[in-house]
Amino acid sequence: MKKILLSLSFVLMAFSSFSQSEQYKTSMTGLIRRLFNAQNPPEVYQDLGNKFVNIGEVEKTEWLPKYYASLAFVMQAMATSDKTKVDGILDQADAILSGLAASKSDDEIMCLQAFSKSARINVDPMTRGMKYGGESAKLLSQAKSIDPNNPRVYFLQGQSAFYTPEQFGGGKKVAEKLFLTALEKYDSNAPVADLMPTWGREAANDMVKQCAD
Amino acid sequence: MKFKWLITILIFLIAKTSIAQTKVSGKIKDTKGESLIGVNISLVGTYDGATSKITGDYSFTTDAKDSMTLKASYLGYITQEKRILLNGNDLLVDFILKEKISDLKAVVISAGSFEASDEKKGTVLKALDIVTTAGSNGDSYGALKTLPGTQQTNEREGLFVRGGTGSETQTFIDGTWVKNAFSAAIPDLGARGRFNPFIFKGTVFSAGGYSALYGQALSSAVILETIDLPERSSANVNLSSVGIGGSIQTLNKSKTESFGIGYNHTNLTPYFALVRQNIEYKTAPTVHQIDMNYRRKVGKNGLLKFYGYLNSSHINIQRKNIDSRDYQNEALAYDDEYNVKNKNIYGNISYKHYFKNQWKMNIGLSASSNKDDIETKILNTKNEVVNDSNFSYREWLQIDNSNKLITTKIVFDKSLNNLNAIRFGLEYLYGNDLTTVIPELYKNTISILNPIMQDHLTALFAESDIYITNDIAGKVGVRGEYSSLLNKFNIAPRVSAAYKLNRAGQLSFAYGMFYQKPEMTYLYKKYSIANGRADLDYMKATHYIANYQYQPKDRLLRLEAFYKKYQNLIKTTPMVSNAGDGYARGIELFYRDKKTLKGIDFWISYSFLDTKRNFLNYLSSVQPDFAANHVGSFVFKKFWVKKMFGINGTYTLSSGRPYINYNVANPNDANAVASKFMADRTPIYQNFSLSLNYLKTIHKAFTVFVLSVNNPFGFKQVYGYNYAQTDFNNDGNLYRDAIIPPAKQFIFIGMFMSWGIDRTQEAIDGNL
Repeated sequence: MKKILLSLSFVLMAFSSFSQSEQYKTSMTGLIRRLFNAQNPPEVYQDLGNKFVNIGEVEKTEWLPKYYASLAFVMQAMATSDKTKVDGILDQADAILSGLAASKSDDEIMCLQAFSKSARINVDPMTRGMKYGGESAKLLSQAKSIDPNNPRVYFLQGQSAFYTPEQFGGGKKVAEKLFLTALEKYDSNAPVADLMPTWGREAANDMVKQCAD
Repeated sequence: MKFKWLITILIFLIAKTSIAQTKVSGKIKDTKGESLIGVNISLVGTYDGATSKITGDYSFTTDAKDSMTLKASYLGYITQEKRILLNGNDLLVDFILKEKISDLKAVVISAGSFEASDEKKGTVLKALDIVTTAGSNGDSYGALKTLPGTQQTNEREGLFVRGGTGSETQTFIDGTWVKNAFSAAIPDLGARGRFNPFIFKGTVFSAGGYSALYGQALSSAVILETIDLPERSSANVNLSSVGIGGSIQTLNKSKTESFGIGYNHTNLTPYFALVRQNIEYKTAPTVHQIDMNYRRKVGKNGLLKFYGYLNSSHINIQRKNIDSRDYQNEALAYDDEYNVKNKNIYGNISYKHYFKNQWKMNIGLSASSNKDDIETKILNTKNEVVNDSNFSYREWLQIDNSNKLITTKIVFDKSLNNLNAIRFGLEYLYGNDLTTVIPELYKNTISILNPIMQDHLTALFAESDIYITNDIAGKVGVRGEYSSLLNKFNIAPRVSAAYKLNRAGQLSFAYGMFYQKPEMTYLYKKYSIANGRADLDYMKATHYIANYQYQPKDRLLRLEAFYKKYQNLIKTTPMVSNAGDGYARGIELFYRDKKTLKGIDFWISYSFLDTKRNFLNYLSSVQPDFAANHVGSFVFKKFWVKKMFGINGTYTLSSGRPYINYNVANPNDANAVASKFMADRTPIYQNFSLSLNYLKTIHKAFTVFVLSVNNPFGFKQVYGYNYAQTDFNNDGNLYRDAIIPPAKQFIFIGMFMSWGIDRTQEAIDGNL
């Protein structure tokens, strides 16, 4: 009995003083999984973004909560059909990203900044395409020079090419090549650490199928 | 003992893990009582929190204990924190969040002005709209003529707005006034704007009530802002049925400095050889223009911009001399030759600097020089200069007009909290004008030489932006001017305000006084060389504008009513004075829709204008000959992204304009019946323009092919009538001729190629 009680109390002790890093890892893992559920409505992305923001405020030394907060907001912007709201949401993402970019030169951050720029094009493609398309392409090429094996560089380049007409150097063929390169990189370059960005593989797979159509 | 101790610990631990859970919930609203969705509610220092739902409700449970801080934050609202005590009992915590006054949400004063910009919110047009409006033929002013308030006075120079003349609309580039915004004009043939619309990132067309920063524009202001640094280096070539041109634009690697130079040559000789015109062009319009620009970032907080051009043009036409037609004699049917050579130089340097503490400074300096070298001849049927005493002194004239203008302007701007701002500054303009008329046949005996007339105009202005909430904003300003030529001061107050009614609707108002110097022609008549002054006063207009704007997604409705009072207008009879006056009032509608017809963007504008003026040689207060009561435009744009093909069209309809019927009430006749003066109307005017665009990449060059046709259905267009001024054959009737365009249709074919500019993204559709 004694022994049982003793061990039980240790378990409970361990549980109650659940180490911060464990909580960080579990919370983040759970939230990241939910982030990549297919077809989340915009409200869910917003809620997840808010949760990442809160974790980021507690774990001030970690950059990933902020990274995922921005990613969630970009995805919220992409899922939002009311175009008048898109800029506000992306402003939120960009504010966090520019804070990150100021303290850290990282290809993943650049990719996400590029993703956010191309999300802004949707609001008004005719007048915004040139400005944001150019800025996005520039960020992706910078990211590529930091890590030429980052699959998201190719995935995002592929996205951009897919929606660019053939006459202008885009089109399905060009896009397909980029998506295939992205898939190769996804296979050969597993993330080195836990919680590191892995997103884009499934979407790249889908896009390859769409390119083949 | 040990056993008891363990149990205590165990109870304590169990208690800690289960009992300490606290449920926190509540509702989030804004100050108007509306639920806010998506608010981030977090327990500071923990991972715990929630996002408010569509009802504004939130709820979460936490293991945290004791006194903690609960924070509610939401985009565009002021973050709020509350201390709460967590002890296991359910907590109900509501928040009422206050909106931040922000650029994104604050109401924009829309009374009087239309803005085309890609950067600012709430704009009616995009920069691209200026060039893609059919019928504008690459002329910014052409596109503005599809907006309410403007008249279809295509036979005259300038933009005629709300009962104002073309000279009452002024153009400003990067803050400074441009004197010769239109190309050299030939009577009855109109004139194009001189500026390439591609160099501007923003255009504001104000039909009244504009800011105290601008002066010397009685009726309307067109405010243009040149682009900052370009996105990248590029090269352009264009080839069209009216000319050729090319330009290069370089941008350094660090994107801090750029330089561009371009050359354009317009020559309508080949086109007129193919398409017959109803007047004879001895020299078809020929223009050489060199453009230059330089832009440089100065440090982190400064931007220097230069834009300038050299322009040289020549036109020589021969057409019917109306006066001689009154002879009703074939042998005496003379022609007029009008030969104009123009040289125009313009340069504009501006420097913008952002200081610490939210101060901003803008300095602008512009200089221009314009010289018209005009030769007019009256030719007989053998194409010789006539020898007819009825045309004495007019047979062959050399007219030299020249003017120079230097303007400087400095504006300080201080941003305060919540978008409030004050700005003030100083403007100084120096201008001189010289006109010489020499009858060629009497060159040695007569020369009508006007003196050089100079003016130093100094202006002080101050303005304040006032934001009370996101829904109420105002602007109060005042401008004072002194002209050395007139030796007179003026003080012009300007006030405007806007109130947001709901998410999409808003009301705004504007009031202001506006002054403008009389035109040079009249100043000359009252100019005294002795004291260098012209004995005239400023013309004055007072504007009152009320505007309602409703802007749901992808649609926009604007209704505007205005009243303007004109005072001190120029009368030329019985002598030149400021005895003229008038009024203009009207209602205007603008509706733009990108949603209803899938893939088609269209706008409709309609203007109703009621105006009367007694000015110049008018016999009484009447509706002037440049004002139609009803003007409407329909503009549509359709682009097929997959085919890279677009169609744009513009249809314009205008009711008839009054004209002086010299046979009914001749203002030169002392016995004319004033009640019949200007009572006649021209026929209804209508025009349709169609333009087709095709985009293609040819050897890495982004290429646009354009085919545009003006008036393909051949509507008969009459702008007014020219009358013979003397009844030579004494039949009691003065000969007249309709003023019509030089050809029914105008066809333009062009190819524009650019290298380096990746415009691919422009064509991307909204599916990304």
